[in-house]
Amino acid sequence: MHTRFLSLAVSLLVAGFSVQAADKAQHLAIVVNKNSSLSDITSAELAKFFKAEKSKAPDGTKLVLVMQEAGRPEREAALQHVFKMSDGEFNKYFLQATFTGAVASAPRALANGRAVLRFVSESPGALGYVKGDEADDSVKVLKIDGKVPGDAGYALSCK
Amino acid sequence: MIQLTKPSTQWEQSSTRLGGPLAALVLACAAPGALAQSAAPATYDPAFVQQMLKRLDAQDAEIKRLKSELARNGDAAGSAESAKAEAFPRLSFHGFGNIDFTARNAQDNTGKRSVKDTFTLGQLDFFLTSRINESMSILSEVVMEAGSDNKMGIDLERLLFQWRFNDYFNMDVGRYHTAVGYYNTAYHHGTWFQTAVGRPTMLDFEDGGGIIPAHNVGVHFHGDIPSGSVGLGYILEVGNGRAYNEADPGTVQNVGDVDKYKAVNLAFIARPEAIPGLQVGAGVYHDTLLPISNTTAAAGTPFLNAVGRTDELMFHAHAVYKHGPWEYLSEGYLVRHKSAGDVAHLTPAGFAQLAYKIDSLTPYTRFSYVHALNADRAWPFVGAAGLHYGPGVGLRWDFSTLAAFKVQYDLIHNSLAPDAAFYTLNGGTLTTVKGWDSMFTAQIAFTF
Repeated sequence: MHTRFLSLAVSLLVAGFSVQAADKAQHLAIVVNKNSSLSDITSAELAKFFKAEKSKAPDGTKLVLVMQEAGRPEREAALQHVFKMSDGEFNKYFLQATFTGAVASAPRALANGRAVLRFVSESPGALGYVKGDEADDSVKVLKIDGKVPGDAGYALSCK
Repeated sequence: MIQLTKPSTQWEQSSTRLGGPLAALVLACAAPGALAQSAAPATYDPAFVQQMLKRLDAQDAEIKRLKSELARNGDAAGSAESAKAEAFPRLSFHGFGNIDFTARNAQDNTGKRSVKDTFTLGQLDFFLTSRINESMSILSEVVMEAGSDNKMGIDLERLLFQWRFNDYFNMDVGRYHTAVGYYNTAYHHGTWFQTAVGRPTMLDFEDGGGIIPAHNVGVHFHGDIPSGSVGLGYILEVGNGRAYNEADPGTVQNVGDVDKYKAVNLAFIARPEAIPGLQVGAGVYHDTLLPISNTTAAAGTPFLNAVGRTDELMFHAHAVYKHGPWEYLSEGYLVRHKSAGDVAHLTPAGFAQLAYKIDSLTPYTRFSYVHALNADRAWPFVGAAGLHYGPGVGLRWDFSTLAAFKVQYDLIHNSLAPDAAFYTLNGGTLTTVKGWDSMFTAQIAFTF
């Protein structure tokens, strides 16, 4: 009897982990350098950071935005949920922001999530995104509206 | 021929492990060996199959090694890009241009059309920015364009040293677009950015009869005001202002101020979080103008030599909503000139523009209004005197992400015929008379 109960509990636990892993894979994780003062921000603040309307973290660190290259599903998710723009609108937005002098240049775009993790882990003010299950302990995953990837109701989904 | 009837399952397994393209590669590699074995027995040979499987395993191992090397190279590329993030200067170049066709039904005093249908080269805009460190950058914008005499000229439209200290304090020094209203700072010389073919009448540049000082040389501060979700911001500008020069009204004082007074512009904006895309703002611009004393007035040209010190005050406000497919722009101005020994003259002006984007097409409409008083002794600064108003409709087609084709039809009512002297002063030609005037414009605008 005890063995059967233990087996059931283990199965449920494993199933639970599997579901969370699956959920994380379907979410976009916002990542910053491990030493960043940012930890829990609102969706509105996130949009301001990525649109370069706010350029510095609360501790004064200059934020360095990093995107993923066009065609990546992570980029599509960020454009849809954070920027609320198409790729063309994004390019025009930053070209115009550069033109008006609001920003000095458009955010750089890296090849994939691994490059983003590497960049973010090495750059104090870096702010980027990867798939939820791709984030590792080399970076800090931000809470968005109090939730992290894998949580029910997390705002940033990624197919 | 080799017969592999029985071991075909093993071949398939190997192919599955390696994937289709790789299996093809392996088959190709294996082929010479297989051909070399053409003298092998035509029946199933376990030793030969074992030999081939070993060879496949060796190739598997080689592929894994190569994949691992590729991954390491990828990481190295990531590191290289990380390193680039710290490399300065970071130079960025963009170019903008436009080519127009216009047809206008303006008539001269004899009732004949006074303007020929024409193709027009627009501006060729070379835009350069360079970050010199994490918080400082240089911005320059050089424009080539032809004047009404068809001769090409080169203008330095902007040159700025920019210092981004934090979200609350930023400074630009040099020649900038004044933050009088919204349009003048949001849209500069690249018409590709603008939904419509051109700027609203009252916002034309200094050499085109616009009523505001579009450019200034001085210092421009801007930043956020801690205000939570209200999203307040400020702008403070101090510059030379424009010259009060009869020969060339509204000249930007690039290298010297003819008077001791500085032009000051103070504005506040709000971008409330509750309504993403909304920006409202208001401000006031003030300058004191002194006519250049050695100007010789041509016969029949008005006023300026007879005018003393003139206070120029401009109130401006705007409401802008740009969200999703919607674009709504509206601005209002009130220009007040008070010259010594004269009464104050007010020139109200404004425009509203509404656009809605449907895929690559953006239909739009705009209504403009300027009422420039002829009695204003500083009237060359307020464009053609009289009441000018009218609607315009247009369609923008973004046929490429970097190029757009636009067509626009404007209808403008002029309550007064413009003064010939004004157009002479501005190097233009007399093109309108009292009454309705209409214009069709087609434009290709692009960036590169």
